[in-house]
Amino acid sequence: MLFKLAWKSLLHRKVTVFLTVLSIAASVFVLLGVDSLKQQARTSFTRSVSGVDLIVGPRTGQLNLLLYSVFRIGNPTNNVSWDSYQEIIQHPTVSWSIPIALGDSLEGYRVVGTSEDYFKHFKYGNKTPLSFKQGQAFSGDDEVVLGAQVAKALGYKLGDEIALSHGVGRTSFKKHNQHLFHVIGILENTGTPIDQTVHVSLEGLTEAHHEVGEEHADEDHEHEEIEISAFFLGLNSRIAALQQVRRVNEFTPAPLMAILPGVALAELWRLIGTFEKLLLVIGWLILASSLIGLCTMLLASMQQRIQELAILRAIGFGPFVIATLVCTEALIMTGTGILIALVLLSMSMYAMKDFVLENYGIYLEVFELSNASILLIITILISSLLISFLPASVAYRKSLERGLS
Amino acid sequence: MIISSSNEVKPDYTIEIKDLQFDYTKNDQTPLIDIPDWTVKSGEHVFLYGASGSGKSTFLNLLGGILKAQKGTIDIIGQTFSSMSQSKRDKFRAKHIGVVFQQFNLIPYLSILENLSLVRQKASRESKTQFKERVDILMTRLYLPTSALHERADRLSVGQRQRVAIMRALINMPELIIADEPTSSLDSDSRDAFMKLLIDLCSEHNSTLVFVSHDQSLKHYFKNHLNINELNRSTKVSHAV
Repeated sequence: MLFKLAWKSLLHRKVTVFLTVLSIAASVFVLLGVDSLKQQARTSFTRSVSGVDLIVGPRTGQLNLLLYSVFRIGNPTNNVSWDSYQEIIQHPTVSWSIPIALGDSLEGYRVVGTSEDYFKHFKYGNKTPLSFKQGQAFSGDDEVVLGAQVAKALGYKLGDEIALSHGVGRTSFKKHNQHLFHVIGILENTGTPIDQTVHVSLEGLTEAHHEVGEEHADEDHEHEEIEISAFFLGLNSRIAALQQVRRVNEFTPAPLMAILPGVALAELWRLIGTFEKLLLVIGWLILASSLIGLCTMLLASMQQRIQELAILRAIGFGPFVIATLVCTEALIMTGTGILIALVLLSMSMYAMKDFVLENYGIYLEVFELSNASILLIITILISSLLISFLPASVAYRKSLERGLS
Repeated sequence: MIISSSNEVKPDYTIEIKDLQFDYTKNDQTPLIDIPDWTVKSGEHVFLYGASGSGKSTFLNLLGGILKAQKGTIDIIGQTFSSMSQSKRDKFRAKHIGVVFQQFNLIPYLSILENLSLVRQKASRESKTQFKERVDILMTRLYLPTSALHERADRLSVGQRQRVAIMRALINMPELIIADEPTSSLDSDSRDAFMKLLIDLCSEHNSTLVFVSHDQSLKHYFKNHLNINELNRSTKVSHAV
C-alpha cells in the first residue's frame, strides 16, 4: 500500500521525478559501465593468450610487443630474422614455437603469417586449443584459414579465393592480386582476436609479397628471406622461463626481447587502472550530486505536500509511516534510475560489441551483473536511503507539528 | 453496526473531558487550553463556535489525538487518549474518528476509490465486496456519479470534493466525526445541501458530530451549540465574540 502510494505520488510529480531519475541513471551508467568494461577487458585480454610461456620479438616496449603479437593492436616496429628465430628455438628447454608475421590485411582484417604449429599449440581461454568449424589447417602456400568472424562478416566459404593487400587499412591500394589464396579452413568462434584474424603460411605470405615486386618473380624463396614480427614459445618447464628471458635479452646477433605474458598483462592493468580510477571518481561524483539532487527535490516537495501530510495523519498514518513513505519514494527513484542504467548499459554494450572487438580486440560479453556490480548497486541504494532520512525527518517533524489543519 | 464483542457495552458518552490542560510550551502557568469538564453524548451533534485565535485548532488536535493532553483526561468512547502512546492514538483515530477539513480532504493524485481504500486499509477488517457495496450506497446518497469513483480527486469540483470528504470521514463508520469549517469553500446553495447531507448521514451512522466553525449562520442546523470560549477557561486566548 505504502509502495503504491509512493509510486502514485511520484507519478504526480513526473517532471521533477523524471529529471532526478535521469541524473541517477547517468551516474549509475558510468559507474557500472566502467566496472563492467574493466571486468570484460580483463577477461577478454586474459583469455586471449593461454599456455604461451614467452613472447619474443624485436626490442620494443613489453606492452607494445604484447599488444601487437596477441591482440593485433598497433604495429611491429622491427622484425626478427629467420636465423635469429631458429637460433633461439634450438634449445633443449623449448618445447614448441609459433612464428607470427604481421603487416598484411584482408578488407581491414589482420593477416597473420604463421606455421602449422599455430593450430597445434596456440591456446586461448582456459587452455582451450583452436578447433575448426570447417576444413583444416593450411599445408600449402596458397591456403588460408579464416577466423570465425572474418568468415562470417565477409561471407567466405571453403574453397573461395582471396587476394590479400599490403598494409592494414580497409582500403589498401596495393593488392597482391596475382597471388590468390583459397580458403582451406574456418576456425570456431573463440571470443578472442583470433576470430578477426586471417591465417596464412609464412611461405605463402612471402610469395605474395614477391609477386608484387615483379623483378623477384623467379627467385626461389628460401627461409633465410623470411622475416617475422614475433614468436611465441612453449617451454618444457616454467622454471626455464626466466632463464630463457635472460638468454633472449643477451642474444647478440640481433636486439631481441622476451616477455612473460602474465607480467606484461599486469603492466597493462596498471596502465589502464589509473584511467579506470579516474572514471570511477567521476562516476561517484555524479552519483553524489544526483543523490543531493534527489534530497533537494524531496525537501522542496515537502512544502507543497503539507496538506497531504495532514490528510494522511487524519486517516491514521503515524509520523513514522509518513517518514517511511518519503524513504520509499527515494528508493523507488533510485531503483528506477538503476534499472534505466542497466537497460541502457546492456543495450549500448550490445551495440558497441563489433566496434570494440574490431578496434580494441576486446570481446564484450552480453552484459551481466558481476558481484562487484551487485555490491555497487546495493551501495547506491543504501546511500539513497541514508540521504532520504533528511527529507523523511522533515516530513516526520512537519506531520507532528501540523496536526489536523 | 459497530463491530464489537457482545459483552462490551456501548458507552453513553462519546467524548468525556476532565480537567484538560494543554500548552505548546510546557510548564506554562496559564495553559492555552483549560477545559475543566465537557461531555458529548453518543449520537449528539454539537456546533462549536470558535473565532480564529480561540485555540480552536489546538483543541481539535487534542480531540483527534494528534496532540496529547498534559494534564487531565480526554476519553473517546470510554477510552482515554491521554494514556495511549502516539502510535496507539494514530490507530485509534483511524478506526473511531472521522475528520472533515476545510478544503483539502483528499490525496489529489489518487482516485476517489483509492482515497477511500486508503482509509479502509488503515482500519477496517471488512471484506472488499462489503466495502464496495457501502461505497456505492454512499455515492448515490451523496449525489455522486459512480463514474467519479475512478476519477482523480483533483479533477472533481470543490462541491463534489467536499461531499467525498463526508464519505471519507464516514467510510469506517467511526463513532466520532470532527468537522473543521467544512463549508468555507462552498457557495451558499451547496453549503445548505452539504450541511443537510452531513447531518443526515451522521444520524444514519449513529456518529457523534463535533462541528467547528466561525460562521454563526450555520448554528440553526444544530440543537446543541456553544462558544468555544465557554468551554475553554484559558485566559490566554482572545474572548472576542
